[in-house]
Amino acid sequence: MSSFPTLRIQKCSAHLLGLVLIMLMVACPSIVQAQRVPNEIENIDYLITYGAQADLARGDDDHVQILFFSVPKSYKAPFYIRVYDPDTGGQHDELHGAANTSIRFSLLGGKSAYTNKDAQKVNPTGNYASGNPLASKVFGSESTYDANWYSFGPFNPLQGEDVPDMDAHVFKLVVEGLQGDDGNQYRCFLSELNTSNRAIEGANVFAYEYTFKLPKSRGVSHIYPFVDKSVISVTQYNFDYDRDGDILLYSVAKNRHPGAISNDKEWAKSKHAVADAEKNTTLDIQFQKAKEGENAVSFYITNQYDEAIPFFTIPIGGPPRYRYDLKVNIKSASGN
Amino acid sequence: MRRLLLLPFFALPWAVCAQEISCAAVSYFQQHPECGSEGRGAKCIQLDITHSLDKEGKPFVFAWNFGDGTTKEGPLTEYCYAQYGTYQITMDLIDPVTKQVIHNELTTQVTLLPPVDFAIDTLRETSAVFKYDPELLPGIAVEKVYWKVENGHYCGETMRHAFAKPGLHIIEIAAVGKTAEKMSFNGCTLRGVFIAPKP
Repeated sequence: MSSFPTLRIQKCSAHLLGLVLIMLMVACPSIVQAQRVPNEIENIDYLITYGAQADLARGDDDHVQILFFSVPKSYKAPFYIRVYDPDTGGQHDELHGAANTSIRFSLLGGKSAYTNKDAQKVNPTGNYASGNPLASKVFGSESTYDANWYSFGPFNPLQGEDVPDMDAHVFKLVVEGLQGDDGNQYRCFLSELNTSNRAIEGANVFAYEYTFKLPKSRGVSHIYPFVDKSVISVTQYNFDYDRDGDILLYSVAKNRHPGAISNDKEWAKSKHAVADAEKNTTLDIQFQKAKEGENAVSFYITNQYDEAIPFFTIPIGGPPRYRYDLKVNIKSASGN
Repeated sequence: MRRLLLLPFFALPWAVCAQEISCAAVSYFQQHPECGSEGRGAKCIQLDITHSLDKEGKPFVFAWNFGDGTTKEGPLTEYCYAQYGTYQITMDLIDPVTKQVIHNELTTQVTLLPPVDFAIDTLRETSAVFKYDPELLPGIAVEKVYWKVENGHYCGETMRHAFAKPGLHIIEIAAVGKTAEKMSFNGCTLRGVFIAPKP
């Protein structure tokens, strides 16, 4: 689904994206220093991966989550990828009967960990777990890790895939629901430290698909895809949103365009043209949750070639603001 | 009638004349474009975002807060303040169905300056000294006076300017200080001066 039509376009897009990202990260260093996934700015509390036997109506379309961690080449020290509440059971997780679910977390680096096309697909087919295995652990319902952190690492930044266009080494975390029917809710943090969270300056985390839990209360959650200058249209796909409010596209040139919303256990999609002003900027996909209660949803967004577009936990260049043309006229008397 | 004192430029020693170099008048008039606009001395404003309405976007109610407790709705709205001053204006969006509010969708600041009423006589000299008279603003302890004429900016109570050519010229004048109640005062005005051609 995310394959590029030609190698030339793929290289061009990756190069452009990399250059723009480097420029924006240099220009906005203060906004790329927090690597909690999902991030506070997204207003998403937890990612969620269900066991392989869970009904799709729970909201997870494929029981696999793939995250990419980019570590800038300027960072040379060891680091850790920490996971909060990696077990399935106890607090924060979604249990259906007795806890019976096991989830595997696998860290991969080296050549093709990121650049393998299968890794960037929204469906886990082919060699999506490409690269060199660096660490792996299967979590069940161990109370040791309930509402607690588990640290993968230490890793040498050079163990990641060298991606020159991003000026970074990229690592991949693959989370797979092996068995069971429960939902494992978790967070990750890219940290300099083993026992606490200290962000790496200039690092970021991105994905091509999210399966996540919306906040229980009404409110707005955000996903921030970056649109490079080659994109002329985007198509947003959402699964099992349960018609729980609106999904709106917001940007410098779009003031909350309604997107199609899915019902229970179904996909919905809508296509939206990209204006010139939106190129090389971040979009804000807003989930305006209307009902109180639990809801998990899967989401991805593609360009005109049906290639998945990455979205970043820290929006590149900051969250977009719609550009109002406000005219303030000072008058000697009111017309009213 | 309030007037500027007009003196031949040689009537004052050079040292007391306002200096154009590194003068804060440049930044002052950049920050207060209202001094040179038709709205100087006004208390009413019109806010207009009709040119940036997104017809494909979800419909919202545009709710303005004018910074003095007054609120109004709509993409085009007007309001008259009771007093001069600087006001922080915010616009919220309200979902007409769910009533959810998106706060601070748009913010801006408006400064309404009281007029400083001066008058300037017709001049017959192309180079003249203008002197601000403190008695023109009774009750105000003026601390700084700024001038803008042609392309020149000046600071100080006295300003000498050599007009490049005869005809009508606009002089912008601003005074910053304190009121008798120790409140900050910031006022400006704009007047024309006619330089008569030499016979």
